[in-house]
Amino acid sequence: MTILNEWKQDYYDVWLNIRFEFLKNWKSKRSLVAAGISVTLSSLFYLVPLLTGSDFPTEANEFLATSTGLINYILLLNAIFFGADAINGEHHKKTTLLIYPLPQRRSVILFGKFIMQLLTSWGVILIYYLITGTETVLIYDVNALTVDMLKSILFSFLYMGALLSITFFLSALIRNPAISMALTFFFFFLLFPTLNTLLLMIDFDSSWILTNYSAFIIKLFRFPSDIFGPRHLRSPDDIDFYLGIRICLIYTIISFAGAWLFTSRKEI
Amino acid sequence: MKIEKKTRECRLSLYILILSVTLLLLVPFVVVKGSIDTESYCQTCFHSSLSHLSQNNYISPAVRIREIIFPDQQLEEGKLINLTVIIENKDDMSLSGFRLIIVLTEITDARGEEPVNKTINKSLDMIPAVSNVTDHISFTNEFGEYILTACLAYGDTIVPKSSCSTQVHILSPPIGDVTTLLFALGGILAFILFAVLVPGIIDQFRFLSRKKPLKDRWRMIKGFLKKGQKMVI
Repeated sequence: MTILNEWKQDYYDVWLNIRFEFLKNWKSKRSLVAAGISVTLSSLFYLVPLLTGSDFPTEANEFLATSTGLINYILLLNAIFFGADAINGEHHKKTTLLIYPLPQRRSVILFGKFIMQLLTSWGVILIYYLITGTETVLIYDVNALTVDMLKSILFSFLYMGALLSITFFLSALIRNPAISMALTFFFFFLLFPTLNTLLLMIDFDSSWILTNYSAFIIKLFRFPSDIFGPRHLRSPDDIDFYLGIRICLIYTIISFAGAWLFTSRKEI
Repeated sequence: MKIEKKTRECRLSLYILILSVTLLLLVPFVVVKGSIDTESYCQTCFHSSLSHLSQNNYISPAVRIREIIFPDQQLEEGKLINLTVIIENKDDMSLSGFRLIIVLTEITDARGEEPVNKTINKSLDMIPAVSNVTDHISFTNEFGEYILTACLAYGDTIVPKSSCSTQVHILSPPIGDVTTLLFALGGILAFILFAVLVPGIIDQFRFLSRKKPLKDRWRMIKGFLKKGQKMVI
């Protein structure tokens, strides 16, 4: 078999895995649950003031910045839903054995899985933004939707890529899906924020910590409000946007390479 | 006696005349100086920003800031912030020599620095009697959430009850650009799609591109079925 045929076969296998993962997500109702959470959380910011008769923020940017405050949780949920058991789940359920009668490269399965789970996560994020955007148009004006919103969407896509990549890495590293799920949760909710706080306390550079850059999802709306929570829990104020992009890319590529390495060497 | 009486009457008339003239001369000052009002009418931060002005002798002409209007929908750091102030004069006399004072007091620590207080001072033209005068001011400021207070002053004295306050949000300049984000996202997808090529290339170099013969694969499956044995494809 020439290398060209081999590549063609690999790309076909990736496509096959993408379709398989799509069906799997659909059947397991994970994507449906994630979309449901996204719809519920994004609707809260419109429905609660409407039902209680309280006022909406005077400025559209304030509404957008407040509404997207919860997107961080959606991103973490997506990472856990779609990545925490992506690799070790197959080993745990013995579905990896299918590659004996249906030989495929493990890397190809990983690529197909990652692309599909990334696209599904982006879809869930897009639902959140679409609802928030519709709410903004209903409350304010269509002019309230500026390029800042597009930037926020794209940045959350990028951040999602990094989160999913780390989750895939943990899934490839740890055999038990439950442990990798708990560790993912621990990593993003406890380890990174705690490490950041400690580094800030001792005035040490914490610009390499990924979770700092999730603040950009809100900061891109440029609203100067104290919406990032208590000062000691906030990310550093001098974080750079372009450094954030680079950090996200580095985390994505390194974690994905790690996941690839561990997946290829994992014993069945 | 008559002379003394006349002299006394003359003196009294003179006193009355002097007093009347003095009173007449004092009228404009009285209008401006007004009564003493010790009531605190604005916030502590506002007072501290205007500490150089006297707060003991307030004046009380019926002039005040009626409204503060921002013609632009969004206020942004680095761009001129346009402000329209409507000054209302209810007095039946024109006023001049007044100054418009704008004080910006930061109320959040969104920038993570010391709060910024800014004072803008502008001399006003004559304010016609019983009228509304519009005045335009442009300035630049750092991004943040501020209380903007506009008031009138005469000399070093603030006109009591002339102030009007509003909350202002000054947005930060645009962060980042869409093109870089699109390139970064494209980069991730391109990385994965190009990575698909890598195993094929490695196989070619290692002469392992051919799939293992069926006989070998069956042997591997049989080996796997043996208890406790682990296989790597």
